[in-house]
Amino acid sequence: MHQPDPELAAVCRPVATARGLPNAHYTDPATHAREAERLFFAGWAGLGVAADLPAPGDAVPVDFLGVPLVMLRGRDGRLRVFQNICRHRGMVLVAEPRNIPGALRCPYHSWCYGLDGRLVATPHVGGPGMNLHDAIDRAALGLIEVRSHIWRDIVWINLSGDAPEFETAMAPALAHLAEFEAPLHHGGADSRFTLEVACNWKLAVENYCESYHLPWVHPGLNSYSRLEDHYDILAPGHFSGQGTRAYRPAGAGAFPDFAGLAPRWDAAADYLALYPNVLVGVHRDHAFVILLLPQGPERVREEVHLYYATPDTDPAARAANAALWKTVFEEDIAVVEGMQRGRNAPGFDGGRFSPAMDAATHCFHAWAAARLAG
Amino acid sequence: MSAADLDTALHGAAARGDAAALVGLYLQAAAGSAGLQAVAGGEGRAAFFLTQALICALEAGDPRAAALRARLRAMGREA
Ligand code: FES
Ligand SMILES: [Fe+2]
Repeated sequence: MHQPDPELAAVCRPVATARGLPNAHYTDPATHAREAERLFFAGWAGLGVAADLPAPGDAVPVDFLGVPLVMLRGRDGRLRVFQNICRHRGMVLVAEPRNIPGALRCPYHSWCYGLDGRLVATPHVGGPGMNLHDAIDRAALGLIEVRSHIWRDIVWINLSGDAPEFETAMAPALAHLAEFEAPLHHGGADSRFTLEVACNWKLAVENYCESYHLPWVHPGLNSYSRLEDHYDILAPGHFSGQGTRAYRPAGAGAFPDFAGLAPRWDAAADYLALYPNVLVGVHRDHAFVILLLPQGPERVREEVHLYYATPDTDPAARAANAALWKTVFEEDIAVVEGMQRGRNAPGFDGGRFSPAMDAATHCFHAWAAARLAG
Repeated sequence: MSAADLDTALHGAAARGDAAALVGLYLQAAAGSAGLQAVAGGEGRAAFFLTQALICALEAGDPRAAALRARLRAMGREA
């Protein structure tokens, strides 16, 4: 019979008495593999952004917790996600982001796939100059498609294929951000950057969730986003984060507002961690997303993208806004990497939460622990 | 073009990643082999080069792919 894990049970206690996840969840490859299955593959997770594939034929490979995947923009304009491997001998198909002018050719024996995944050529498979063989049924050997859905330009995937429909599984997040459904325009090359951080992916989520650290880690940010102006956002089992009631528009009003926002957004901004790995920020005049792509238990790649309400915003203002956020996110690196090193202290009990300040972090831990238990 | 020249040109086009040239060169190689059709294996040799041309054309989105596929299909060697 299954024995409940006492360490995970301690995480799920009320915030005042709960402990954080123990060290193994930050350092141990086997625990990381379990998290990949339970926290990433079983539900919907972020893989990339559609803005990275603007044209038909665009292909972007992504290592998704060790699973080789590829995003492809078809001739029909649809973006699809596939396992990035050939059905012949399992060769990886796309090594680098690129545009594919025709068919996707395997670099090994040149089986060719359409961008919709169909197997369209099997050269010499029946011997030299004979491209057919009874044993090779092309219709059954297309690329293996991964369930995907695009929302807020984010390419979401459900690798296991058996999670509830996106709209059902993500209903609380969709509802929370319903006012921000206006079209998003990626700011382009000046509005994306990547940070490689030496910490477990969860530390990036935990740090993003809470405002407790703002006065100490972001003294500049705090001057216009004071701790007292912040509130918790808690949707147990789905997302958590924080918001501010004292947001002032970026670039002193350089960017037009998203249409259809209620007056409260004149001075408010929300920062949500959509479990497991998508961090979003929404403001009246811009939004951003941070995709967390774990690179093993002790490294994470943070891919940051900024969005605006119109396609023609001022480039200098955009660059300044991206630089501001980059500074903020870089200020967080020292603390998340410090917490990662801290997880090598034997017997660290997972730490404690401030019931007043850490509810959003605990909400995330409780979600993870509940999914990992049993 | 001699067989040796064709071989050199194929290597050059492959090294440059010049798909259009590769299609043309493989077509030439196929035409050269087609003359051997009376010889045992001549058709197979032509089909081999036509297949090489087809794959290069498919990958590059070269419009010659459709005709190449049709030729190989007529030979019972492609779907
Ligand atoms: S492994 Fe792809 S064609 Fe052989
Ligand atoms: Fe921070």
